[in-house]
Amino acid sequence: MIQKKICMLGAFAVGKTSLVGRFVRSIFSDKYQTTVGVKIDKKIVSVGDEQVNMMLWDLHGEDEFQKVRMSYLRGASGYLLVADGTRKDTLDIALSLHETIQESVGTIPCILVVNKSDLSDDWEIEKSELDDLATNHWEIIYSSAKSGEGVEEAFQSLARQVV
Amino acid sequence: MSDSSTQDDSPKKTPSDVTGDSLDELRRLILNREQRELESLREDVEHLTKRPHALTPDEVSDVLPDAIVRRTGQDRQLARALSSTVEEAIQTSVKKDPQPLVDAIFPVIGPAIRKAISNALSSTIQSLNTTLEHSLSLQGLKWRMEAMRTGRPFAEIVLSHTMLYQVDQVFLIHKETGLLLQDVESGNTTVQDADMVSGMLTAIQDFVHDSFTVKKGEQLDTMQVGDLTVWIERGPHAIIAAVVRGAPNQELRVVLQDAVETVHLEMEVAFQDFSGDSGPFAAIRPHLVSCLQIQLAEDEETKAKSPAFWIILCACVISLSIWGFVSTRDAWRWSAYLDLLEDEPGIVVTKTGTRDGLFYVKGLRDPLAPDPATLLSGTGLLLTDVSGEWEPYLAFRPEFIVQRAARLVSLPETAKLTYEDGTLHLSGTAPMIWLKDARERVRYMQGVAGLVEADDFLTEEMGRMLDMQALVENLTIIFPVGSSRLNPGDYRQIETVTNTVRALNSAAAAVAISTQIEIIGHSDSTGSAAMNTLISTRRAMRVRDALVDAGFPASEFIARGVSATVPVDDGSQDRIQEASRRVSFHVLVSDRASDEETRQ
Repeated sequence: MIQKKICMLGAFAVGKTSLVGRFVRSIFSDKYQTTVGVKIDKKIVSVGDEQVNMMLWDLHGEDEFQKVRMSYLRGASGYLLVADGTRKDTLDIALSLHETIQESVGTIPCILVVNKSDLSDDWEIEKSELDDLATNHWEIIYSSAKSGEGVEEAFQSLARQVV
Repeated sequence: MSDSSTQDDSPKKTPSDVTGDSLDELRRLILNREQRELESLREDVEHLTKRPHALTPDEVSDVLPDAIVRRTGQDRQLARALSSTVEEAIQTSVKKDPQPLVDAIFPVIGPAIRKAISNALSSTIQSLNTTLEHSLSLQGLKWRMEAMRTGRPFAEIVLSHTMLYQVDQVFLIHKETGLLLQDVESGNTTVQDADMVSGMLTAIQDFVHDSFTVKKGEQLDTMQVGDLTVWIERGPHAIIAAVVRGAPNQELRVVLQDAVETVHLEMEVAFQDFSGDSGPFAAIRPHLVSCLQIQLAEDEETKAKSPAFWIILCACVISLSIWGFVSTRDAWRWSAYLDLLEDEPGIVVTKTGTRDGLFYVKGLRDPLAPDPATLLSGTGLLLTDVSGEWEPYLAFRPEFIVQRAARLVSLPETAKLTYEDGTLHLSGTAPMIWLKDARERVRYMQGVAGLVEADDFLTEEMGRMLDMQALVENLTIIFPVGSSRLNPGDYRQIETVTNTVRALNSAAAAVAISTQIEIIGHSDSTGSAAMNTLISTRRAMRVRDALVDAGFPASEFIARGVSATVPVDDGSQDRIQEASRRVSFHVLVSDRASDEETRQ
């Protein structure tokens, strides 16, 4: 089985941990995120005939108090950038993280996951803004940790890219 | 094409020749390139035919890089083939000029040396820590005795007992990605999800490295939680993390280092090509399994006991027996000594016990009582075994009162004191002046009401007077038959009587006693009674006159004759008759004070 290191990144409280909580195998407590700054989970997906063991490094959300440790991204095969559709600044943070990662790690597969699609009425992120990103070759997946919408799709899509 | 002059100068050609030339020309025009290639191939074939194994330098230079890469990926044959050549080349280079090689390895040799020293120091400190941890415990004391018995250093003994560990799990983790390449575990270990654990181990190492100020190249090598230790050995591409239960020794560290080096040596290409597939690394599982070491403590029960052990055990038993015997014996002796003390008059025991390893006794002692130390001689205890603390006191036992009184009054040897009903009784003889002083002294004695003279007590003066009285009364003067005259030789007897009476008078005066001497004249039984009375009276008066002549007052004597009324009943008849013609003396005693009262 092929293993891949996948990082989950995004602003604080965008729903990274909730997003994957119901879909991954976990043995570590969430407190590792606030202490060590990362919690490692595992998600096995199928790509064609091949099983891919995705080691998910769920990094502590970035905010004004804590920055993402770039050393945790070393050796990553891809990453999910998670933004909260109801908070526009989380998209800015995600894009900023993307630039930082490209500078430090290089260009690796990436998917932008816009979470909380179940609260579309409260969204602050403009559809046009996301469309612009899509036209610039961003792969964008709308998800809901509450309903499970788009979660499997996000992992599946990233797995296809990294294999 | 060809020109005409050329055709003119040439020999005459037949049609067939013309046809052949044309064909050659046509062949040259059409197949010129192929012919040259064919010619080249022919030359190659001829060259290979002549030297079938030879390659030209150009050919070798073309294929050499690819050949090296391919063969290195297949096996280690090329490395083995080149090793001696490379060694010789390095030796030649160093002999020629070592500086280029020094410059080349300088960036790596420094960190390598530092890491080696760091590992050695860590090993030493770990040994020291282990030694110190066990120095002050009960187990440590036991091991220290073992060190003394075997003559081995204490630290070595500690390490030999603490080399008890088991490697539960070994992870081979890709250094760059933190992905698990392989893992092995011992059979009795509960294993968590290994690939997540390996990722978290990598994250923690990064966390420590990022969070604390560490020098470049320094990494987290050890993690410890309770009885579990995680030792990490790292190589260029991967790390080996061993989860150890117990107290591992440095030999395990060497095993892990060897495993890391071997894995990198064998999987160099796999590391280069790694893209998430851990399959190729299954080949190195035996190296990881070799790291699953277990070090069991030596079973104390099955360990053969050395002769020295039994000797020491016997020595301990004998020592304990001797100690018990000596302790019991000393306890008995001590008890006997205390009984002696308690039975001894003038000694009162108030406290007993032990102090500073000695028997201890405290109490009261009359100065006249024997020294408690002298009582030890009969018990078997030594003076150095006992510590005594005695306070003086006065015992009111009769014997002590008598002794104390005797000392106080300086009792003469001729006298004796007894104590009865609170009064001292004096017997024997003593000077009157002493008696007077003694009475004064005993008045101040505690527990003594007074000093009384017993019936058998005499003062010395009185005794002397009685002695003189007896001497006087034993004197006799023998007269011839029928005569009351003193022979010349009898005056010597008179002188004796005179001296004795003087002495009597002196002794009597000393005790305030008046004496009067009765001079008794006797006669034998021959003759008439009247004659005998007369002659006996004259004999008495003759002696009295002689004494008066010697200076004594006549009133001091009473002379009377008793004829033969007081016969002598000793000896033969002749001796009796002779002794009956005697004058004897009898001393009359009276108290001088009563005499004065009578006279008044």
